[in-house]
Amino acid sequence: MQKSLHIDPGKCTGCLQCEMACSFENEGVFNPAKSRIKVFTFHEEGRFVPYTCTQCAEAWCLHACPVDAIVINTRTGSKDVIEDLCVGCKVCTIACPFGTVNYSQDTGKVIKCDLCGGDPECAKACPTGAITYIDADATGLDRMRTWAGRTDNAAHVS
Amino acid sequence: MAWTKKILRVNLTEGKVSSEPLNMEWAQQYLGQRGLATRYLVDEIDPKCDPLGPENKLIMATGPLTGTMVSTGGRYSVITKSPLTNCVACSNSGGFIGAEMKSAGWDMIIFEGKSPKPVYLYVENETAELVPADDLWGKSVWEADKLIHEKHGDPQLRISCIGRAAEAGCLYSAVINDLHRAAGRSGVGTVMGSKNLKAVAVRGTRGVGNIKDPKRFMEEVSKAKQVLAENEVTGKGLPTYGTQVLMNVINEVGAMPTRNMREVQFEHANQISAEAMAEPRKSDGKPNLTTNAGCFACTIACGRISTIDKTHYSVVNKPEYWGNSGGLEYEAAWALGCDTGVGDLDALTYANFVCNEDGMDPISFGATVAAAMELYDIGAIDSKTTGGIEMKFGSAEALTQAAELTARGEGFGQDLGLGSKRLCEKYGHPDLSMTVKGQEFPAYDPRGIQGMGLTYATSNRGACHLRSYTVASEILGIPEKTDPLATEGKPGLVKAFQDATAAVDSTGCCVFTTFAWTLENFAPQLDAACEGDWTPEKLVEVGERIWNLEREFNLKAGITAADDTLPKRFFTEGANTGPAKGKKSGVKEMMPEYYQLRGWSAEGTINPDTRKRLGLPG
Amino acid sequence: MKITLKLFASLTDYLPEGAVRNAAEVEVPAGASLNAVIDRYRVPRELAHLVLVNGVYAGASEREKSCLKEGDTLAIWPPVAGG
Repeated sequence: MQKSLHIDPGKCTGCLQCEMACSFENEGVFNPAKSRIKVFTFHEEGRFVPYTCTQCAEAWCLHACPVDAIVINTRTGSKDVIEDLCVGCKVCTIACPFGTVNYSQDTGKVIKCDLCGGDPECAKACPTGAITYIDADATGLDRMRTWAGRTDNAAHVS
Repeated sequence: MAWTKKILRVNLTEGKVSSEPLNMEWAQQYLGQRGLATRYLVDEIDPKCDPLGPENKLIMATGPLTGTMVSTGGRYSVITKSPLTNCVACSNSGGFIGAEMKSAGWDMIIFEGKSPKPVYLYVENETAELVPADDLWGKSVWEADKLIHEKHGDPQLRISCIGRAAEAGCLYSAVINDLHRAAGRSGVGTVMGSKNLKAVAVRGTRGVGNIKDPKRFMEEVSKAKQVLAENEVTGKGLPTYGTQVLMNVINEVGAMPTRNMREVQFEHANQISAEAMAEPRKSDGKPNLTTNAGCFACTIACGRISTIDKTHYSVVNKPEYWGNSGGLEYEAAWALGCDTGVGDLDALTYANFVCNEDGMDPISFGATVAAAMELYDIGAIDSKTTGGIEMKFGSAEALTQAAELTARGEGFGQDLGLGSKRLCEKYGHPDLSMTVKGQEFPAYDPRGIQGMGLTYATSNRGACHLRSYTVASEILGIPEKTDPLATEGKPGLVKAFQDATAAVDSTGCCVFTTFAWTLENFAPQLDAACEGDWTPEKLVEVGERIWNLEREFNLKAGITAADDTLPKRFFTEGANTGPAKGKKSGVKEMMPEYYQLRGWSAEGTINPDTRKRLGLPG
Repeated sequence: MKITLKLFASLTDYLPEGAVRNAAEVEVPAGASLNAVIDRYRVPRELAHLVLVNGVYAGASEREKSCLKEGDTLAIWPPVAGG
């Protein structure tokens, strides 16, 4: 079963535990500035929204890369950057419609979410279940269950 | 480790910034944040100095766990000499700027001198510069925050800022960060304003590393997060209801200071409580509370994000107040509500927004309005004094007008900006000021919760609940229930809470963790992160050392045992209703035992052997 | 006899119909223990953390006793805190 990161903004409190877990796993320091997942605060609306790469099946970044430095991880389905091959041209950052591939000045390479090889730290760190790592084919299951529960069943009313 | 081991020193008089190493010997004795910055303050300023003069310094300090993944590890404190109390001030705030400072590579920023013109400090990792702020002076926190973000074209800047209240000299001005988090108490914002320092804007992209044992650290952090998640209070109560859940509790036990503490129960408490904040309102069907919010790294997330009813008189035709912002916490709701007799939830939310917008401590502001209302009630001031405002207990209009005037330093707002003590002295009734050492009381009546009386009387920053929150034990049964009306055993309880809290306030974490964590939970996280051996016993010792260092500063500043007391009202007027009816404060009876447990003389000075045992400087 | 029952925070859900602002006037048998009232309104005992009779805390042993009088107020909270 392939899994994907599933985000429920309604549960996010904006604490940035995910950003710290991500940066610690990937950079060895607690550094939200280097996180592959970002939490956005919409102050006036009182909303917090985590956002990261959704691992497109037909990934724009992968197709745009002139040196084939972005490859499919066949085990997890993630699109991974091969650091040794990346030349830092940033074409992938232009190609990605969602902005989830970004350049790092420190390394001269691009960075993006690689699902931590199949055990994403952000999901483990999230205290509220706003970020979960679940069956890629059934990310709507919980929402369906919630609405199913609200569906009137006339046979029971009478 | 965990410390960046670097201090940024900013000489405002000369407009110079410099970097210097952190004193790691002191870090082992005082940990960080509250403790360590106090050690620097004691070393660098004369306790007798004018708090608003250039010789006072202002320190923004993080703890060793600030900026790490430890739950709530995002705190910073502002330490200085207070213009409200003339004692040491240490105001703690969450939000995000503390972690950003740390990520930029700084444990502390020490501001000294006074800038000849308005400036703000811009920090981008290891570089820092003072930037002219003439265009920001006269602007609210919210306006200045927006302008600074725009000027640098960087939406990710984190900003601490003062508002117009501080510029006007309001003595309880706060330093607001991230728009609605506050280093709120004791007028730390007033000191910042006196230095012509409008704001501190920080961008840190270096991250926090230097963890002694990263693998063990992550294990301890996960374990401790689990403890918070599984605890009924930190895992459920606080995120769902926030601190405001206390409104009905404290009212029910008859310890709700009402109408400048004349009474101990507020008849409208249930209209301004956490439960009321969740009720849909008539106009748009939405509740006051939109959502809860977490500060940096916080897995509790007690913060309130609220809106004001757009049809409420306070915001009609003022769309700038229609969006979400930091909502009512218990202390603010009490001071703006119960203490003034105002039971209008939207008026309180508006007054709270104004406190954030222009940087005022809502506790001291609300309590000062309450004192003004009592002065008005007994005829010591009238509507001529107030510029036409009818300062009647229960008047929402008086409260919201007072908030606007004080925020901008206009009219009667100048008087209200003096704080309750100076206001009541000015109009000839010093006994009507509900303050200790010049700082206004928070939301627990010391007749109904006896331990809190001792807490207020002995707090090193003047009346304050956060120096030893014995409410946890006396009312809430955490860690175990004690009788709120009894005085027996309270000196020991207060001392234990004071020492533990001083240590927690120096870690970089939030004191609210202590509803679930003890020092037994802190020690392994610190020990895995920081060089040295960190045990619960060492933390108690560090806490006691900090408490005594603060005390010593205050003694040198001129505080005596005569200041360790409560206003006359609590010794002459019994509680008027509820379980504590007829009860007065037993502070005077508790004090000798407290001094003795502290290793202090009967005059409240620190005995030589206590000084020696704790290794106090000088 | 009639008492006022107040349930707060997450216990709000257990209030009987007609409750206003977390309080309801209810009829309970004379001599009922606090735990009997708690059970009667299906409040889980482990969530009845803070139990106050007229504002005074009732500990575990007192909850087994019949200490309620006509007109008393019984107020109950789950574990909560603030500051």
